[in-house]
Amino acid sequence: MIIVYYSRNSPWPALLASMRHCRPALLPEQAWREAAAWMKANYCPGGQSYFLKRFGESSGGDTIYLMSSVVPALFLKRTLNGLLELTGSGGQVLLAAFPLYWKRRWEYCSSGRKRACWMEIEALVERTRLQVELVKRR
Amino acid sequence: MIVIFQCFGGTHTSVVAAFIYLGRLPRTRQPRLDEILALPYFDRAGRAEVGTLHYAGRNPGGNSVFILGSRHWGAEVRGQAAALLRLAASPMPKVAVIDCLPHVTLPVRLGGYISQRLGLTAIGRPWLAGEFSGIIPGSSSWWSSLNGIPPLIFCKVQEN
Repeated sequence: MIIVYYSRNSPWPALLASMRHCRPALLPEQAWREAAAWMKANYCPGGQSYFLKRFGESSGGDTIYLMSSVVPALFLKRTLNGLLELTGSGGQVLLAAFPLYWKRRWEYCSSGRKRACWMEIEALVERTRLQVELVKRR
Repeated sequence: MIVIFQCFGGTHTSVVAAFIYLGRLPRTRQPRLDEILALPYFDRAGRAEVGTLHYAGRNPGGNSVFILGSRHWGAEVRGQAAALLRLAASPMPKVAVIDCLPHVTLPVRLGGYISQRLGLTAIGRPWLAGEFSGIIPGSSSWWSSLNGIPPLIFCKVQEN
């Protein structure tokens, strides 16, 4: 199955969720360091109107992508999930999006804020795992 | 194939265009106000509905036709939809998107604002119906220019 983590305006939250999904034992400080390095190597703003990149594979054999653009998450989810269902691809791709608006300077946030963000990321990843399980069971 | 008529709110221009395409509104004569006002979804889909694919019917070729409102993000949504479908589907489904946003006229914007934003449907809805009734007839360039747009087919049925 393909899991696409989506975040609006910045790929940081989607990237952190992808990291958390692929490596459940990862700690926040370590995740931030690795995310900064990943962003430096893979992300260049400008050009395309959206950012989509393959991140890796989870232990369950799912392929993880991350995606980002200016489109609000819930709005994009509605359209893309509808389209995936209509084309019969709903069971192959899962779009997991952060429902909240993220307007943080991710690279420089304090450790307290990192922990708070990490809890939101963990929640999204856990929910996504449950969704994947349900889809696979079907 | 899936045909999607896309505009700002998915409630005026794309609705009228989709139902002309489906033959529910005439192409050769001026439609009556009641014909436009009786269209499903016309000036009805609220802000919370934006992004939802509304089913409009099937064309003679058996293709499903949908209406979609994408606010200012039409191009981004098309790009991301194409990218996800490329990842997911094999063989790739064919999706044609007709972008109606360039054909939203100023009076239609104003009518939409009055009806949807200000909530004055008693004024906005007839205004909009009258506006479309005036611009649709076969002699008008509106439908012919809309009809002339090649749909943005972003997934091919088969790949070599």
